[in-house]
Amino acid sequence: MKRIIILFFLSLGLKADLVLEITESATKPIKIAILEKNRNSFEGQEIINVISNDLKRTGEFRVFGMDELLSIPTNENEVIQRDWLLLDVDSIIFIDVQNEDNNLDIAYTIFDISYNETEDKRKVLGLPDSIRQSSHYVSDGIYQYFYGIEGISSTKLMYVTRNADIHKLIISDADGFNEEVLLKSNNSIISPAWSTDAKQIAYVSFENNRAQVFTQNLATGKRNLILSSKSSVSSPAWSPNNKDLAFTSTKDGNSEIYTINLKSKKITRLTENLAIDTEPAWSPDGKKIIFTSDRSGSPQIYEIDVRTKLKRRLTTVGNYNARASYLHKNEIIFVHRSNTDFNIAKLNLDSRNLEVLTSTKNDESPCIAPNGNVIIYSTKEGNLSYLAGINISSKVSFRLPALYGELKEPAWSPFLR
Amino acid sequence: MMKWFTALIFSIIVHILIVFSYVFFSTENVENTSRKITNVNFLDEVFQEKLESKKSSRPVETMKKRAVREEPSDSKPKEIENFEEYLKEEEIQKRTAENTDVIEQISYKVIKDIEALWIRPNSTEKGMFADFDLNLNRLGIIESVEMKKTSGDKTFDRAALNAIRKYKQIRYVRSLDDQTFQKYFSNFTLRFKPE
Repeated sequence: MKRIIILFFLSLGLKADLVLEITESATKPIKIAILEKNRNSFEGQEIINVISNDLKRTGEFRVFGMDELLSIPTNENEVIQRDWLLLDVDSIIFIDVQNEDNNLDIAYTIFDISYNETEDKRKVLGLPDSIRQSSHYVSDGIYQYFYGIEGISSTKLMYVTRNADIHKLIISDADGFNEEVLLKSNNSIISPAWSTDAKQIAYVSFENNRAQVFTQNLATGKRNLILSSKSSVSSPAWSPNNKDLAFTSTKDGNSEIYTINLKSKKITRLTENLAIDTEPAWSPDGKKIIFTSDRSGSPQIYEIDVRTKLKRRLTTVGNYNARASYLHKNEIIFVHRSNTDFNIAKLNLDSRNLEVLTSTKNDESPCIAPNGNVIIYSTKEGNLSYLAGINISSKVSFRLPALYGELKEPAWSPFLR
Repeated sequence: MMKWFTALIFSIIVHILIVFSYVFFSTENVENTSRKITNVNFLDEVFQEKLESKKSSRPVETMKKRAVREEPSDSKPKEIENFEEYLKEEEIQKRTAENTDVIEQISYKVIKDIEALWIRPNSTEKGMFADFDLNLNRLGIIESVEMKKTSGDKTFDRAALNAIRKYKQIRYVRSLDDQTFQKYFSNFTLRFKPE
């Protein structure tokens, strides 16, 4: 509820110390224009396109096109403040592409219209053939300048695709471009997961006709077989210190949660009952694991202390809550069934406030961006499954290009720098 | 003859008795009625003087309250004087209330305007706030903004400051009289404290 407080502190009855308290903020986006400084190059336009799309996708920026502008300055000195105030533009971003030994460096300045002066100057050093990635870094810098948290344009996504009987494990940029196939198989690949340092991944592959958990070093491509079982194994999840993997297995009869130490290969069983316990996810401090269990008769989210093995039920609303992960220490997201739709929901563990975030109908496999502000998930429309996302602060939803018959189990990388 | 004379005397005495008794009883009734209607407490002069001196030594506000509570009965001139003071007090209170209404209305509009301009950063954390000291000229133009207390978050402070800078002028204060403007709006504090 909107609460506005006006405080009057009367001091000696002569001079009133009036304090006006601003508690609500606008939900409108930051309005910017992105211009190339001093020239108009092909690379500059490509960079501006990438940055514009990155920022538009967040839903938190309105990026003006060239045809909307009243004047087009080529540097800060040419800015006619009146023109930009008329358009209600907040800032102009000047991009300066510098070609150093075939590496394109991108210097950029943020010119504030209301101050009528340059407020921030930054530079992203380029690497060969990295114009898109460098542009993503610029986008993240701009996002952080205005919104105070790191942007996620320069991060990566990992997901599994299936066309006919070909299964692929793919890593792409956060905008869906630059796909790189890590593994191609005629058998299923499930549960891809990033290590928290973004150097390794883990997944379950059935390439040898049995469930095998692999880890793979992304720099060298080297694979390590961690676990091989004739029974079902799924959902490997890296501990925050990357020393352990939590996973689900039916090796003892029914589906239970285990952890395995990657160095000693020692396996510890965490749950022990007749119900199905699955989909483990670590808390940010690595002391707890949340998982899905049907021990109460319907799938619900539980939390277990890794050391004491004490458990508690977290979800109480609805008869289907599954695939949970921590958004913060005291907030989780999961798949929640409301009526007949499966949506992504957020639950505050302190206030018990449940918020349904998505409006699509068959949502599954939510994963959280490393800045904690965007959730990506797979969803279905007819026979087409695709990746969709939602920005938590702006509530703007978006979808990534659907190129495959089936695209599922997205996993968002940590920050790469 | 003697019989007639005796009867006359007796008749006169009886009539005298009747008249006397009528006069006697009718007077008693009037007195009783008057007491019932007025119900006046008569006070002796010394006691009344003491009470007056007690009343005058009380604070103005108490006198005002008593003037409202008590029936104007015994000391007419005193009561009229209190009533005038009471009216004066009431007028002052009314003016202050009207002033407060105007200040609240302007404050509400200013808050709404700035809320529409402020884009809160995502780095905002619970309990975070920043205070800005604003100085306005008589036309409502924001002449200076000074950060009195930082939120500790550079982006939060900048976003708040940008909202104030975009606002530029608080036109509503033009309608205020000089005294009220000086008292409340020539210098005031804006606190950005998201819920």
